[in-house]
Amino acid sequence: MVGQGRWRRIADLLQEAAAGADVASAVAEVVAELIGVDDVSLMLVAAGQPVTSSGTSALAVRLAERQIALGEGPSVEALGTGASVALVDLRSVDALDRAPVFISEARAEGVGAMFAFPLRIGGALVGVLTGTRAAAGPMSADQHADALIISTLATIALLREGTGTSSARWAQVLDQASILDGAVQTAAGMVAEQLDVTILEALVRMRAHAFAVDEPIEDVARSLIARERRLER
Amino acid sequence: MSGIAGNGTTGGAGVQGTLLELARMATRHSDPVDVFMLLSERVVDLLPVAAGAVLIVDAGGRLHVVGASESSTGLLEVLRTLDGDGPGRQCVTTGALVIGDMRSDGERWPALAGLLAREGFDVVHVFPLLSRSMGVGALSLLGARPLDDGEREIAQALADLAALALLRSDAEEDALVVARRLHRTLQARATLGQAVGMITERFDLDPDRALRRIRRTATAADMPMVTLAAAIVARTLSERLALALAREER
Repeated sequence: MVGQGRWRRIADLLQEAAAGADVASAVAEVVAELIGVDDVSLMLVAAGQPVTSSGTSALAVRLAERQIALGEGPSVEALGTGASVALVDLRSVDALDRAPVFISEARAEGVGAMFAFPLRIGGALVGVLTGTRAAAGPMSADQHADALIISTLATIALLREGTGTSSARWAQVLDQASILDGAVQTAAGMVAEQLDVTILEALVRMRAHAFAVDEPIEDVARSLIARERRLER
Repeated sequence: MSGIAGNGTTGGAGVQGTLLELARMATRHSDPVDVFMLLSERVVDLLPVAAGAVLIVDAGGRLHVVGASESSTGLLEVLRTLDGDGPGRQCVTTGALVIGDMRSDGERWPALAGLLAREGFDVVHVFPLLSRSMGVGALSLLGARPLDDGEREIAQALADLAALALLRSDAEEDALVVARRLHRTLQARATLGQAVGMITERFDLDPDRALRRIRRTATAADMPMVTLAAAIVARTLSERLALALAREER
């Protein structure tokens, strides 16, 4: 289908990279190639706080961990606001203002630009994906679009991985990309309220249930909204 | 929910009032989710159509519904079929109005024709939401007959004003900024959906009533729906807002 081209192409790239790798590694590898950055880090969160970082290089991991330790930086900012952060030139006043200590350190490490993309589905925040580059300058429109798609696919795949119910079959993840819409999100809100858990936990539980009863998550969502079924604690 | 076709009052105070309100929202930089939901609900009162929806594209070019005149499963299924090989895809690709009259064009989009027949619609109009002549979304209208020239002008004017909510007031804005804003609008819509679910459960409502309650509370507090939704989801509601949400409709 015409409108699916970019989604399909990226899902295929992730599948090629996946072979036995976990979601984080596959994503980091493909991102580095596609969006023209030198290094990629993936920070995952629990209860809104970053807890793990992985990356394509020691530098990437170091930059992520420094941001966590300092509580500032584009990745931390993206986690806080839920919006992507593009620091196209670390020498700019704007970059320095936003995170004075971290940016000075990053510049000393030879970083010229950083781009952070939150991994989220509405109010459910899974982590942040960050690309760094020695050369300053913005991303192209294509690279930016690819980054947004990878972010969505990665979020869904990490959710699935979190339930321990599947290996990274990216074609399946692609099919799930419509969970951003309508009924699944409303059902997740209901489950979060019923079980007194976060939206993220609710989505994980719905996913686990859908897998257990072998139904598409959209059908589970519809029957939850119609109160035909209810997830137990 | 009014599903009666041909009941719109075209021209006059209704259209003018809505155009003014949309223009005001655009200049005040109202949140796109608020604008799109308003438009998709109002359009069935302003034009002789039975259902309407606003869709926007994601970074990969897929269309997503962000506002619809009703939340029935049947309508949503029809709207999903506009993407793929449907008239919605064609509208976004060409940046031009696409009209599908199933009485004569049924074979062009067979899957869509079947669904439209089932829901009782004969004609679909898909008006483009444009950013620098590129399609970034669509205003989709479903009804019993093709719109006349005057009605089409009104619909496109509504779509143009709605598109301004995405572009702020500068249609020449950088494509990257627009792409970011589209993505954030989709995320905002997901957050709103999550909040609707929580309120549905909390006060034993159905999703439509929960949505209306969120909107009523947000409007009274002069904030975009998504800001209130984010607080609901994060469980950071102020006591004042929590009380306001708990109040039943008159």
